[in-house]
Amino acid sequence: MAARIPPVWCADLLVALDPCAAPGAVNPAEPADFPLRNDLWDAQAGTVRLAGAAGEVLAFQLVLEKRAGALEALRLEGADGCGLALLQQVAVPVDGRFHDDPLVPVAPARAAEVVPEITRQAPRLKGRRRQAFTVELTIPRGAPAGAREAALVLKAGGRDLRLKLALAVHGFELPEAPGCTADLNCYGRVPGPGSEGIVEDSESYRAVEREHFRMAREHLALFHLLPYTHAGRIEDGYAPVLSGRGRNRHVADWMPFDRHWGPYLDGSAFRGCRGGERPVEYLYLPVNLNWPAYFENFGTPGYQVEFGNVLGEMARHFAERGWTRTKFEVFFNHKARWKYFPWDMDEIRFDRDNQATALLARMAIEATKDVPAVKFVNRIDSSWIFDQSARTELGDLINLWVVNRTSHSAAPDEVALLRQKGQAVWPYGGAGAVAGPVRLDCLRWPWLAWGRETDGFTWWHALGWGRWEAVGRGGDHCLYPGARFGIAGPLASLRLKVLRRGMQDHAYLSLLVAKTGSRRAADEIVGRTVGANSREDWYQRGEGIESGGAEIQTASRTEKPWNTAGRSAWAAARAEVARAIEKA
Amino acid sequence: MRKPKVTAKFRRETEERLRRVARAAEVFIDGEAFKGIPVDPALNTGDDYRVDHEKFIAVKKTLLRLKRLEPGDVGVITWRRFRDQADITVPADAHPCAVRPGNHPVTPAMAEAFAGRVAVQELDWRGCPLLSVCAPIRDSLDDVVGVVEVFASLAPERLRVDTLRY
Repeated sequence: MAARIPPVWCADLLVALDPCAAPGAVNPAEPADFPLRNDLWDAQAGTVRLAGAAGEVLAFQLVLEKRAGALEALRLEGADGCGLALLQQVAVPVDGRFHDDPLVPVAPARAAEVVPEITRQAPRLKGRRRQAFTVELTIPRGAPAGAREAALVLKAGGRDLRLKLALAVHGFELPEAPGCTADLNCYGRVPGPGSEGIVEDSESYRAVEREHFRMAREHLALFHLLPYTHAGRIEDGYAPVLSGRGRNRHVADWMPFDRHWGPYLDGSAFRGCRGGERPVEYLYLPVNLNWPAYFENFGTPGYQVEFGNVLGEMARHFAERGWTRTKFEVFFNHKARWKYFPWDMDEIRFDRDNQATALLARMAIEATKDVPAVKFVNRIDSSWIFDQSARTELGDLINLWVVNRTSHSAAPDEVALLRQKGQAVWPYGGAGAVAGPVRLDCLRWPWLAWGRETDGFTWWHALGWGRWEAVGRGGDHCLYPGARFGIAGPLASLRLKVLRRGMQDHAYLSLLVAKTGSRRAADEIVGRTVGANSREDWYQRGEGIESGGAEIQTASRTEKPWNTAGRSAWAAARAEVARAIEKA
Repeated sequence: MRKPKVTAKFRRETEERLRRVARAAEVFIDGEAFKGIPVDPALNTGDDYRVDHEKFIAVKKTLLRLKRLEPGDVGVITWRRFRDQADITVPADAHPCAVRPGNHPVTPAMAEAFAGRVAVQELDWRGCPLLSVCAPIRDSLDDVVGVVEVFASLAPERLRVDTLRY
């Protein structure tokens, strides 16, 4: 078998490839001849097959066996203006084994210089037998439908090699903006200059932070940074400067807030970014139990006045600035276990804790009601008692419910009830695991959002990655810091690329629904391919909350058919939906 | 990083300032409220950890006001006995050396305060020296029910304890 494996081959991004295994055992879930022929690759013909719509990014793995030598250059020929991007896959240790996940950009024409440097800077991996790259092709907007006979021309080990690229462009175009929010949640500061100890809100810090927002936008996701700590401390530069107490509590200086968040709110931070120069969909406000009102005034008229003064000023300031396309979140992330405040206002276990949330939500509504052009949303992150809370006054007061995936799955009626009231109800969990034979967990999240008819979903942490020697299993990160490779910004991961593919799938489904005027055709295809025939099938009604119910799930545990369907089923669903869009 | 130099005068002034805040804390923290804060004293974290809202808020407000007594950077935190260790009960600030969210070994100064006496200790946070004064919290029977710790950086140009709040 080993002798027949070509020195260069291609594979689906969903398939994890062992960088050290024998050629016939690159993935335990795939046949031994996987490098010879698979869904998108035929070694005999030397052809890689891809299909996508205008405005779509198609990604696959280009694998160089050790005997091929190092990649020196790559170029695309005859693909009608398609964009080409190349990223070197870096292996990181998880549970004692190395797995590809971080992706370091490589200028395709300069691979000879860049690849050895990345390899040198990457965590040391003994026994590597192959190096994989992620190749991205961007089909330009307005690209006509039809087949393209293109070629990927690469140079490796001093030799030229030409791979045929059979590219089918569908007869439709994907919208620039995603149809649901893929929320990459984070806390405090991004890894960047001065991120240890006291961090200045410097231009160099903001530049690094901006790259995180742009990275998310490029992958049809939202970078979402909670600007305060459990104690209510706000990072330098994240909030306007306030002065006074009680009735004299006011904004003294908007400059720090405007300088920091303004480019995200007017969209200028995304200039030149795939995904469009438009404002962020959501932004956490620095509002917490100790800001803008002093907690030592809690329960007094002074607390309400301090809170109301500043939120009212915020509303008017945002209106003056024209920041009317972003939803500004009033969210209280405090928990009793951290001891700073007495309530669980996040992942609430006891209903009595909701009284504080309701009180503050009413105060926020009252404070901002005179400026309806600016969208303030009350948000809660719910788990244990979501089904009960949804049926209390919170159902009217809270506009964004971010709900533990198990709790969300168990309560379809409550999700529907809240949606009838106009509220958004997102499931939350973690990114898929770094280790594992297939990256379906990441692909399924957008499908889940579509199936459950929600407006989005949250990966609870995009940056909780640990350190390079022990990056963590993946449920708490999907980005890596780029500093190790001299990059002033984040690195994407293979799992983030798969998330984008899922988001593009979501766009396919939404287009079919829009074209046919109902979900019937999409449901029929999805039922036939991945086993979810209706909205109900995407839920697990009445499912008990597991021990530690607020724990972050990185993978669904339901045995529903959609959760056990293999990757070929998802690919078939996508292909059939594409055909149905073209016919509709 | 080189250890910052602390003058004897600055250290003395800081200790005097902390002792004044600690003395006020002894007087104004309501020990009756304090000892009733955890609903189940056998728990100190997790999903089932609950506190008496009113008692917690009363103590928290007192701590926040104590921070305003003296100019400059002052951290305030309260501890209760938890098994053979100490547990943060109501913080205004993060303790620089605390294990989060778990317990903390009882230091000699904390032991003194649990025994009813005021004690001073020096701490270190990533090479930055801090000074801390521990004082008892007493209930209406004059029993010690906890410890209030007041602390400040001895190198405020490098570290303010106010920036440590998690």
